[in-house]
Amino acid sequence: MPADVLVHAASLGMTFDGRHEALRAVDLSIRGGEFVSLIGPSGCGKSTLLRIIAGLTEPTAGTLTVAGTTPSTARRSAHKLAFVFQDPTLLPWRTVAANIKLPLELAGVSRAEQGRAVRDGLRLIGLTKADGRKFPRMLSGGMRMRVSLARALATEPELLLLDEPFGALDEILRQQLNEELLRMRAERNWTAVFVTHNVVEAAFLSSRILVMSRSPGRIAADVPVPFPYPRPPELRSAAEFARLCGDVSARLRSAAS
Amino acid sequence: MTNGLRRILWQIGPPVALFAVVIAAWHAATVVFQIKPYLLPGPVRVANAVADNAAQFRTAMLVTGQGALCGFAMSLVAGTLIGFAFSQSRIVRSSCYPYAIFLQTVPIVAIAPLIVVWFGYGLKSVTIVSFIVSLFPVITNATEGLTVVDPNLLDFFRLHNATRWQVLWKLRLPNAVPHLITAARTASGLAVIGAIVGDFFVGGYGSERFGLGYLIRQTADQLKTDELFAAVIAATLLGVVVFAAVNVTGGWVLRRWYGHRS
Repeated sequence: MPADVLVHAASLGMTFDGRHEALRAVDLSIRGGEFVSLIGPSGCGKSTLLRIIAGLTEPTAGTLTVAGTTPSTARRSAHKLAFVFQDPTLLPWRTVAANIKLPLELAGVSRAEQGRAVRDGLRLIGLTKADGRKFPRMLSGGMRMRVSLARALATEPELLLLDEPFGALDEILRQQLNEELLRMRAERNWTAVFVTHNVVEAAFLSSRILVMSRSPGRIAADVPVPFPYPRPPELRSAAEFARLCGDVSARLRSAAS
Repeated sequence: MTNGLRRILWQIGPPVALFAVVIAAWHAATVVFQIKPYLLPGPVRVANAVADNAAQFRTAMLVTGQGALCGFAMSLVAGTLIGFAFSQSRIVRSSCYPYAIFLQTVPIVAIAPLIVVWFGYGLKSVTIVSFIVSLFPVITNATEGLTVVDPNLLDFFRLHNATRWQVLWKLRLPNAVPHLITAARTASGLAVIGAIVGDFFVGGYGSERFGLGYLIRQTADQLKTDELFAAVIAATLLGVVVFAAVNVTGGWVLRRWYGHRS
């Protein structure tokens, strides 16, 4: 295994209640610095795979390592890991600032460091110090998701796992947040595993797209995305981009059938 | 007229009008059908009964209110602690829950003699009755608030290697706050009812100091129906005051909790 492999899965399988087979024989290698999208039809096990990488679910077959060790060991070590859920999952009784610093509070870092992380986080998502005193219910859906991203990045993770974070947003907002996500990534270059079922989103964000098929979930295709970073919004209207989206869509259709 | 004023008038106007209609009909009925005052006293007689015995009613409301507040405070504290114990261990929960339901179903009349044997007549026993009657909703709401937590938030805490203590302190307890406010609302009304029932069976403060329940029983026994009506009004008033106070406080806490600004 090359030294820069961050996530490695070998013949990974997951069967729920001994009956429902969600994943079968998944082999996967993600190098540090990659942005990998998992795309597939509903129920193909892509979210399950993401939860296994996070160490929230134990696989029933095969092995999965993060930085050469188990996910739960990795997330206790310097190889920090963060997760962004489909819903913002903020604590409604905490202000924006208090939500952003929560992971640092749990890690027991100093107050000074927490304060610095809050300032960085607010700046990252374009909020002022006054906005930091607002409560989640005062924010729009898109802004809540930005706060969720800032919270995930507060610990400066090496690996960011995102489970359809923009699935509930309208198209314009989704594109905007896609661009912001790449801009945030340009600052620290974390590795990302991004679950989605939107082809354009996957193509715009990723350096590699893994197309999954259903019942049981397997990796049906591994599509490299050749466009260099940083990616301008206009990339979406380029001919090569459309061709790539068409190619991924075709593979997705054949995987779903 | 401003919109706010109009809305308030719409809220207050109709019930006040209905009240006036009912009082007028009540008065008319007692005059027209010449109903005997010990069966149904007219509104004027009741008003006089209130005025003539104002000091007595005030004392009775204070005595009952004291029992209700003690019982309410006890059930808030004990109910939260029991809910906490239930949330920490499934074995504790499943073994104790049936006995918590017992509190909900036990007829106070049946255990009143026992309470008197243990605690004697008076405030202590009234408080115990008020406590027993109002405890159950606090237990269930506290347990629910501590256990029914968004699974994604639990995953988030797990991902960040949170200790059991951190999950409790930073997630479960804050999550339970709105549930505890609901519990306080329900329990406050029940505590007042419990204190009045307590006056009835285990009050026995004597002829100098007594609560509303005792007053209700005494006036009923003596067929002083106008004073009985007045006592019922006082009991209702006490319940409304306590319920309104808890509701306003609870609403205020909840608004601050989620960062509403008025």
